Order: sequence, then structure tokens, then C-alpha cells
Amino acid sequence: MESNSLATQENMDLTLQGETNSPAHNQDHNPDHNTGKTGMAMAKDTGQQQFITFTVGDQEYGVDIMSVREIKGWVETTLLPNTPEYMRGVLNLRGVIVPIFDLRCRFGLGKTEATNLHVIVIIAVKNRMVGILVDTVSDILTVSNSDIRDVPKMETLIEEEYLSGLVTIEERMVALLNQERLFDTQIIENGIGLSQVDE
Amino acid sequence: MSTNDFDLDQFKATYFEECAELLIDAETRLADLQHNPESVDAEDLNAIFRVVHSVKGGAGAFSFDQLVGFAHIYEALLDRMRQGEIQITEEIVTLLLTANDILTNLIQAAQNGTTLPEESFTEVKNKLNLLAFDQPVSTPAEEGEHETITPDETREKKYIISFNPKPELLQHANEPLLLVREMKELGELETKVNTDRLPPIQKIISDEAYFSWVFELISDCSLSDVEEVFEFVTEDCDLDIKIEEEATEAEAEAKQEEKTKSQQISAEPAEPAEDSSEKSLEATKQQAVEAMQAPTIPTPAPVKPNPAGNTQASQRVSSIRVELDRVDRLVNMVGELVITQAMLRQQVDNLPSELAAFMAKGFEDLGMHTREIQESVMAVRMQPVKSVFARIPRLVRELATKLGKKVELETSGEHTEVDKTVIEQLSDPLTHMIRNSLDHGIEETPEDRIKAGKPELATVTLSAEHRSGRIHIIVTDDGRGINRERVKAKAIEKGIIGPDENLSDEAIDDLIFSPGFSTAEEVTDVSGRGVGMDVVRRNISNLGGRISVQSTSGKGTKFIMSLPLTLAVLDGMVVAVGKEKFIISLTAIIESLRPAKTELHKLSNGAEVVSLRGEYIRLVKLHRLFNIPGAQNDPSQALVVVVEIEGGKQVGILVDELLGQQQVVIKSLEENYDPVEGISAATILGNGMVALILDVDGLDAMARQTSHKQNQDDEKGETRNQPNLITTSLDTKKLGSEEKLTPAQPENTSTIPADTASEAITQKYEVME
Amino acid sequence: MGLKVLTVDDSKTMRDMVSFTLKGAGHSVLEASDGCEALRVLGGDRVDLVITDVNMPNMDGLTLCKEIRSNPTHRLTPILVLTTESDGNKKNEGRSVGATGWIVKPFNPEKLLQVVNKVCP
Repeated sequence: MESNSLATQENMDLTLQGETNSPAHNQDHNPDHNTGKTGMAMAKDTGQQQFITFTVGDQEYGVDIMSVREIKGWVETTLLPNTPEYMRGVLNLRGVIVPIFDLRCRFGLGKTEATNLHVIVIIAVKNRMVGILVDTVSDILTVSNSDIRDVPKMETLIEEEYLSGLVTIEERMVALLNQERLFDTQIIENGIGLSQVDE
Repeated sequence: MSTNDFDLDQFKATYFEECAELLIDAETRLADLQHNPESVDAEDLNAIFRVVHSVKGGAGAFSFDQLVGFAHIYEALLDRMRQGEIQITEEIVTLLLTANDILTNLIQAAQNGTTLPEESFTEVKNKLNLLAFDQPVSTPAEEGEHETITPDETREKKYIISFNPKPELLQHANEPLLLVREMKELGELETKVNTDRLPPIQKIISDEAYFSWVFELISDCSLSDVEEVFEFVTEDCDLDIKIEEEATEAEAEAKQEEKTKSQQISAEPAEPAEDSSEKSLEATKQQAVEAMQAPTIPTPAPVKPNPAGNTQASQRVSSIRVELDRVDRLVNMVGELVITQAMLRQQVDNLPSELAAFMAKGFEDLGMHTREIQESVMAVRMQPVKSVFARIPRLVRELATKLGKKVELETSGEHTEVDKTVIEQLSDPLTHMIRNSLDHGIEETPEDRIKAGKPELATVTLSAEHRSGRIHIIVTDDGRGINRERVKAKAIEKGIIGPDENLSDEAIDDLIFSPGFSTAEEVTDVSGRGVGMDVVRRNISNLGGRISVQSTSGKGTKFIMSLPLTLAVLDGMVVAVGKEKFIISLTAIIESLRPAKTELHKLSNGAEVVSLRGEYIRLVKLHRLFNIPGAQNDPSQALVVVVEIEGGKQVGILVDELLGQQQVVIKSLEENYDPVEGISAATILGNGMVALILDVDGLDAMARQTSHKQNQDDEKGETRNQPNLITTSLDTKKLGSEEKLTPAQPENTSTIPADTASEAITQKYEVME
Repeated sequence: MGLKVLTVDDSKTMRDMVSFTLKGAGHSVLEASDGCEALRVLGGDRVDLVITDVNMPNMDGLTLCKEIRSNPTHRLTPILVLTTESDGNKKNEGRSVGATGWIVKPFNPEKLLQVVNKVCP
């Protein structure tokens, strides 16, 4: 197992930008990809997987590098009315409207007070593009599949279904996100009723 | 080489896509043919021929036997027509139209993986056959007759082949050495070259054939296998194939036959066509093809002259196919360019004045160029409505037949261009307009028309034109016109209008668009789904369009559909609510106003209304529906944007202020997220921020759903705008109770006729005591 | 070594199928949708083989044959004509304008490769 530190955000931006507009070419077309079991099965064939990791509070999370399209600093978004609290509105990514999800809030840990220092990781989930609001981006991890552990029940605060595995690296524990569970709004129950504004 | 991995199925999608385009082309040209048979363009017939030819070609590869069989006959007829062997008559054109319909159905069936019952088109097939081959039915069985006799092929034989190429053989790029190679594959080959004709080296001309050969081939292959080697060169050489073998008596007969054939070949080496060698070659080849593919398609093809028609089209439109994705990306990027340019432009004012003047000039040019690029890019997506119009003749024919009416369709303006996005949406409403014209517009029977002093043949006109930045699609019929008495009676019966309502002719005509006016029993299966004109109007208005009807009793009816030229951009009004900005489509906006306190009223069911020139308009408080803090709640301090919603009703949207008009590029929210109630799409403003485009119909529905609850809350929290007592002259009980029923099913509650005189509409907002 | 083949057909389906088959056999393929376009392609490129449909807009396959034969560069380039007609007529016409051979539709990948093999070294 090795760990390359992520040089700069700008670099990452350059590396990944080219693919932004062509989600059709990435492997996430396979709807099973990145869901726990299939991801593991694929991993066994290739031996290793790469993840981009980022932090929310004290916890470190990872997403499959193949699904990451771009990383950018937080910018002001346009709120969508009557959507869940973790849905932080939409932003314009070179002409494409992309919804932004607050990962902290998605895990029920309260809304992130977003500043310029916060980061949005744009990832592909199935054939959609979504942004995840996180605190910082930390690393690119190359992980042997044998080092990915299943998520034991009740070990974290987060429901296990949102994670596809755990990796321990230099005494840090990285939780690998099951992004389809987390951000595919067609799966997430979206029933938020109308509420009233106090006047 | 193994070719088992060539799976042709992967090309089916391309094929059907291509078929769809081809059929449109054929339809269009047939329609031309129908209207001006005298001025038939040879290219038209050629083009239709090619359509059928291509359909057949692909169908063969996929073994759509039924389709191939029919296309073949149809093609043969077209071939004779383009040779001028068959004159174009009205009758023939009708037959071609029918044939084209059948072809379309067969393609559809093939696409669905089914076939059509043969008897459903036998009659047409026979007619075509009669014309194409001067015989009623093609009997594929006959074709089998000149299959080669297949003698015992497995015995080893010795073929003696004398082969003497002519210069043409080389000039046609055939190569004797390749033939030798091919023969070697058949068996043991001994080659003797005769170089007698070879001149001295300085006299050699490269294309001249100087060599001749005698081959001795020992092989168990059949004569036809050997003949096949020379398949392409029989006319360009002297060829003699003899068989020497130890024949047993039992085999003598077969051998004799083979010898006879071989003699025939050598006897008439260079005679083109219809000699027996040709036939046997033909048979050989057919056999070869058949051996290769299990289900053989019989291709009855009588010999007919076929000149090498050089169909050079006089004007050639050169074009390329581009994936829509690429264009969309271009449109996106140009949109970004516009935004970036606007952002930079704003910074210019902050520069020192001498620099600013210089930069401003540059930005002016840049702005102009950017706009031009934007327009050019949008123009790329523009397409003539022809592709939609081309489907209509068939629809009219089918409908007319079904309804037992005689109808002629005239079209004009098919070259009018609209954005691809609009084209995609045109087909459904157009189908319904046409259906309505044929179904209800035109008299029941041709006799009825004669009685009314009209020609037996009814005319439906379909036209398209650009008018003030929109496209107008007009369907006119010369039928009986709308029967206003009946429409009114029906509207009363259905509870759409009150029995005593006094409506203008226009208002009565408009009732046909009312929800609930068309009933299920009237809905035929012609359009594929049973919807009424109310749905048509709603769908059109969802596209930012309008549909209206004009009718003169006894003279006919005219439907006018008006649509924006593109659904990719929209003229919008930017409004502010709290800190948020939204876009309202300008086509929906009627006016905006700041109401005086005295003009504001509250209904007993919680709805707030503003009175406007004696009409009451329901208020939609955006900041409440969307939970936007810091917005103005008091309408007399804010602005009311009056918009027209579904069914011609008006509602007032409460906003803080208007920020100005702007053309915006429509972006889908659903591409990466889910639909949001009250929002139809998004766009990007000059500062790069996303702004949401309001769905006014959706907002009205939301407002209705929450009005009761709001009402309760307001009772507690607000004392302003206590209900004023309003009395009107209308039927208060009925309408009041309907308002109460609305929350559950907002769409079905609007019993208010579409576009009925607006007095009638607004008077319905009643105050309960 | 693979051949360089120009396939000429107004039907995209047919071009796709021919192209796919030939590429699968290791040949490289150029495409044109009618005779005019084919000549433009040939103007800039030498090919080892031309496979053309007969019925096409702008310039049909037979005219294309004539044009190719009258061009010194492509005079000896083998030309295969794709025909649906199984009668001898089209073939004779093809032959009279200089076609090397023909392929009778319905399209069949194996047959195509077989015929290509027959006329190309």
C-alpha cells in the first residue's frame, strides 16, 4: 500500500477536467460499479484501486478516483426550493447544472458552514454528475483490494449502507463511500413536504 | 478465416434509423408526385427507387424475408417507372402511396421482431407484381428451377481448364495469378503456361494479355466450384472446362450432363447475357450464396434492360452528420463565452478612463462577435419542419380510409426551420390537429359535401410559416365548421359552462379545448393515444406555445399553433424574491403591477386575490411556497406579476422587484438532479450564477395545495387584509364548493373553460359568507 | 498486411457493415456515400480496392467505375460492385464499365471477405 500526497488542487483540476463533459466514456456506466460487491469483485481482478480521500470533521472518506471529474473550491450556489437540507443547491459547471450535496449534513452531522476553504468534489454517479461538499481534499490512495475491509456494523456513526468498505492507512481509517447509495436521488426518498416560513 | 464473430445484429439500430429517414424522403417525394404528376422529376423516381433499394439491401442482410420480398416487387415497379416503361397515372401514384405505407408497416414489424399477416397486403403485392413483371404473383418456387443440378460432388475428378485471357481481363483489374491461387485451394493443380503470344520485350504493352494457360486440376469439387473461380472473368477470356474421369456406368449420365455444360461454356465464351453459360453461372452463384446462409431470400428478378443511368443531381447540398451531443456542447460553451464576456465587460468600468474607452470598444466588437457565434450555433440546430410534415400524408390517408371520407392534403412551408428541440415536440400536437380536422371538421360523407355544394374531395391544408419570431403551424379544413349549438350544449351538459352563460362565437369555439370536453368515446385509436384537445393545448403551452381555433359555419375550421422557434432559449423576466432571483417566461406574463391595499382581498378558503379592472386574480406568494426569508409579504409593498396559466386562467405571482428582461439559455435541471416542484428548468445569469425558471402552472398547483393551511396560519398570525365581502352576480355556491375540492387534484378542478372570456373566469373566485 | 479499401454506399447501414467486416479482417477502410464523394476520396488517396453500390444519388456506381477506369492512377484498382439484382444484367453492365467483380446482396460478411480475397493479392 502506498500513499501519494496530492500536490495541489489545480493539478487535479487539470488532470480530470478533460473527462468532465463525457461521462459516457467512464466506467460508471456500469450501474453496478462502485456498489460494494461488484466493486470488490472487479478489484480482485485488477489487484489495486485508487481513491481520492477527503475529510469531513475528523473523519476521512474516499471515493473511487475513476468517478471523480473535478475538484474545486466552494462557490456560492443557487438554492433549490423545498429540497432536503443536505441538498446545498446547484452550481454552474461550464454550462452544466450540477447539484451539490453536503456530506456532513448527509450523514446527519449538521450543516457545513461553507467558506472559500471548503472543497467541492465533482463525481459521476451513474450517468449524473453531482458535487460533494467536504472540508478538505487530502490524498490519492492506492489500495490493494485485500486491504479493503468490509464495513463492520456499528463501528461508525454512519449507516453501513452508505459505505462500501474501510481502509486503514498509517493509523488513519478511511471510509470508502458508496456514492450511489448516498447521492442517487432516485434512490433516496425525496419526500419533503412544504413547510411554512415564519413571518 | 473464421467469420462467425460477425454479428450483424449490431447494425440493426443504424438500419432502422436510416429506414426512418429514407421513408420520410420517399413520403415527401411521393407527395410531390401526387400533386404534380405532370412535372415529375426523374430524380424523384430515382430517389424513391434508391430508398426502397436501400431498405431491401439492409433487410436482406438481417434476413427480414417478408420485407425483402415486398421491397423487391416495389423496387421492380419503381425501376420500370424510372425507365419510362410505365407511365405515371393517378392510379399508379395511389398504388405507390399504398405500397409505401405497407413498406413502412413492414419495417415497423421487423423492428418489433414480428411480421405482418401476408393476406393484409397480398392484394397490393399482386397489383405491384402485375405492373412490375407483367404477372400477378411471383412464385419463388420457379426460381428454384434453374438451380444447378447437383451431381455427386464428392468424387475426385480431373478438370482440364484452358484459360485464355483477353486484354479486358487485365483492364478490369482482374489478375490471372489470383485465379491460379484460388484454384490451388480447390485441389491439386498443374499449370502450363503458353507464352507463344509474348512479343519481343520492347513491344510489350502493359495491359495486353500475352499468356494463356492450361490447368489440370484434380479435385473433388463440383464443376460449379471451378466455374466460380472464373466468375468475374468469363466474359473477358476464352474458357474451356472439361472433366476427365474414370466414370462408372451409373455416373455416366451425370458426367454427360456436365460435359455438355462445359461445352456450352467453351462454345459461347464472350456472348453477353442470356446464354446458357450465364444461366449456369447464375445458378452456381445462387447456389453458393444459398449454401452460405441458411434462410435464403428468393429474389425473382426477370431480365430487364437497365441503362447506366447517370443520375447526377443538378444541385448538390453538401452536409455532414453531427451528433447532437457535440452541438449541445458547443451551445453550452458559447453560453459560457457570453457570460464570461459579460463579466469582463462589467470590470471595464472600473478601469482608468482612457483605458476603459479603449477596452469598451474592444468589448463592443467582442460582444457582437459572440452574439453572432451564438446565433450561428443555434442555426446549426435549426431543421425544416419537413421531417414532421412528411408523416402527415400517410396519417391523412389512413384516417380518410378509416372514416370513409375523401380527403386531399395540401402542404406548404415545409422548409420553415425551427430548432431541433421544437421539431421533436411538434409531432404529437400536429397529429391531433389533423385528426380533429378529419374527424370533426370534414363532413361525415362525401354526399354530405355535395349536398352542401362543395366538391366531393375535401381539402386539408397544412402550412408552416415564421411570424414575428415564432413559428405558426396552421391546419385548415374546408369542412362544416364548428357546430356551436352542439358544442355549447355539450359544454353545458358536462358542466363546463353554466346553462345561461352568454358566450361569443369565439368563446364557444374555444370550448373544445376545455378539460373534459372531449370524451373517451370520441377518442379514436388513430393517434395512438386517446387525448383530448385540452391536453393538446396544455402540451403546447408547456412548450411556450399557444393554440387557437377559428371557424366559419359551413366553410371550415382553422387551427393555429404558435410556438417559439427554439426551446433552447427563452425570453425571460428576471425577478427578485428575497436574495433569490428567478426567471418568468415573458410569453406567460400579461402585466405587472403594485396593487393598492384596497385592491387586495382574501377569500374564505384562504386564497388571496387582487382585483384588477373588476376581475379577481389569485395571488401566488412565491416566498412562502419556496420558504425564502427576507421577502416582502405585503402585496401593496411588493409587485404582482400577472401570468397566464394552463387553461387561460390568470394568477398573480408576488415578487419583490423586476430586474429586467433577458434572453436566457434553458438548462435542464433534471440532467443531474430531480424535478423540483414549481421549477421548470434553470439558466445561467451573466454573473455565472444559476437562476431557476419558474413553472407558473406548477406554482398555481402548489398554491392551491397549501391555501387551506396558509389560511389557518394567517388567521392566527395576520390581521391585515381581513376578508372583504365581495358579491358577484355569479353562481356562487357551485363555484365556491369547487374551490374547496381543488387541493387534492388541482388539474381536474379547473372546470373553467379555457380562454373563455376572462370575466367569466375571474368572477368565479367567490367569497363565502 | 491489410488492404486499404474504399466502400461507397449511400446507405450508412451498408457502409457500416462492410466497414466492420473488413476492419475485422485487418483491412483499413475509407467510406464515401456516393460516387462524387468516392472520387474526392480517390483524388487524395490510393486504395487497394473499391467496393461500390450501384444505386446512389449524385453519381451511381457504374458511372463511378467508368471514372475510376479513366483515371491513370486508379486505372488498375480492383472494383467490386454490390448489387441486389441476381440477374446477369447488372453484372454485364458493371463489367462493361470496368468493374472487376461483384458481390450479390444480401450482404454476408463471409461472402464479402471471400470475394475480396478473390480480387486482391
